[in-house]
Amino acid sequence: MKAARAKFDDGNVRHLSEAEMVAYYHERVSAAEREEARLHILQCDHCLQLFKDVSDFFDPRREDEEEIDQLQIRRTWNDFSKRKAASGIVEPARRISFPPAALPLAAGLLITLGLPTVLMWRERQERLQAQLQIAQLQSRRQDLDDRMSQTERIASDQLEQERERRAKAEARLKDLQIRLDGLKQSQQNIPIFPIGSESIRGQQEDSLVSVTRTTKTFMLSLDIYNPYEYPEYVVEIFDQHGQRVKEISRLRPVGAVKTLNLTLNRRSLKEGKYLLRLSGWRGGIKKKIEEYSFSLNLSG
Amino acid sequence: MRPVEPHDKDKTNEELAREIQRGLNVDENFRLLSKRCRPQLHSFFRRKGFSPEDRDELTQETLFSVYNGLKGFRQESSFDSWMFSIAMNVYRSDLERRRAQKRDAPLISLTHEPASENNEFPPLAERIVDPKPDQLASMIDKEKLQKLHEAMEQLPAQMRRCVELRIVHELTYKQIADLMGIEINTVKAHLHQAKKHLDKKLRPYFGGIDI
Repeated sequence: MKAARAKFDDGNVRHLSEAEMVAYYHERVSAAEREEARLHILQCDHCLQLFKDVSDFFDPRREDEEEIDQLQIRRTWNDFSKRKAASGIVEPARRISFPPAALPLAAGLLITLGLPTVLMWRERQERLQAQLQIAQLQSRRQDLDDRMSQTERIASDQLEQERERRAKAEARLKDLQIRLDGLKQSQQNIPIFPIGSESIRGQQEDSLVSVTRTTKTFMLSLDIYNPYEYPEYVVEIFDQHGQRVKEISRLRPVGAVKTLNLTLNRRSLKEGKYLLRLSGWRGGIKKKIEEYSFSLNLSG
Repeated sequence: MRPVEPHDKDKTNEELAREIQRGLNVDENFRLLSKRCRPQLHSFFRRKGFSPEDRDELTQETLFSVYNGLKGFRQESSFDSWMFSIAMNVYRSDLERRRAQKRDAPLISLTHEPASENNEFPPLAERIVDPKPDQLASMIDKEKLQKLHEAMEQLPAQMRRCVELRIVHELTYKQIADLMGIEINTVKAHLHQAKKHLDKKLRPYFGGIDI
């Protein structure tokens, strides 16, 4: 305010600053300075306006003014917080002040006490880290060993099962081979009698089938004109009275010459003349194709 | 967030500002500081004639600037003085912005009109304002001012100064009393006497006088 006093005495060249005006308002200046400032303000429109601004700012609530609503204050604080958050202001960094002597002391302590401790701590950390890595590697190795032995066990089981299956298959093959050989042997002993038809071979007489007493079964081999016309065939056997005595279905041509073979039991037929009726079978429908005739003699 | 301890409320604004600068419990300290300052700011902008909405906005703006500027607050002046400077800056910026808005408003030419074939009407400005003011009215205005000046001159110096501060500078009774170094009741008495005197002298020219 001393500078201000000189200024005021010098024809009001410089105005009061805001800080000076605030100090004047709050009476933080001496009585003499305050009086000089007051006289200046009364004569200076600029400072008078500043005085009014300061008074408007610091004056307590006036009689004709309503009190500020506390609820509104809380609401505006919330708005302020949102705005502050939206603006992304970085809050002032926390600054911790130390006495001037604290820094050298701290440095000395750090050198004398802290450094060996830090080195020991660092070595210990490295040792712990190495131990941890070793433990991890051992665990991984154990895991791999377990997986390997499990894989070997599974493979061994599979191999054993495969061997068992192979042994069974070989045994069954051997059995089938024996049965096949037996069948071949028995088939070799069955007499086969070709039966021709008039339309195919131009045969006029009945075919003669002469079966010995020791023969239990015999085979009739029927010529067939078009063996692939039907998927299956049916043969019906009629005696000399026209009575059907036997029906054999689901027959298919076999052999290189594609004949239909009928295996018959000696006991199922008596001596005499017989008529064979060949029919094709497709989709449940039977259609007559050819007829054969033969005479059976059991006394031969 | 740390709950406010009882002694927090006893801290001065400067202490709160210092703790915020150090990063100590920033949110809560600033909330407390804001709670103290907000009524003062709100009241200031109300006294400056702003609407309730504008008061809220300017108060927020000031607090926002305070928050942003706290890092630079050096505590060389009081916190209140520092906040007053910020509030004044906000106030002046707003006035400047409003003036700029007025300047940028579209202008209507008072003299130029689209050309008309038969220039039968005078220019727009001439239709709105009489280019030749009434000499009698001008004389009456001058006489009114003269009478006002004479009536004011007849008042005692202190009373006259009170009237000037009240009418021209729009100061309150208290502000006038502070500046004049007199009691508020004295100010009121001065203004009452001045009103009676001016009313008596100027009623034929101005009607009633309200101070």
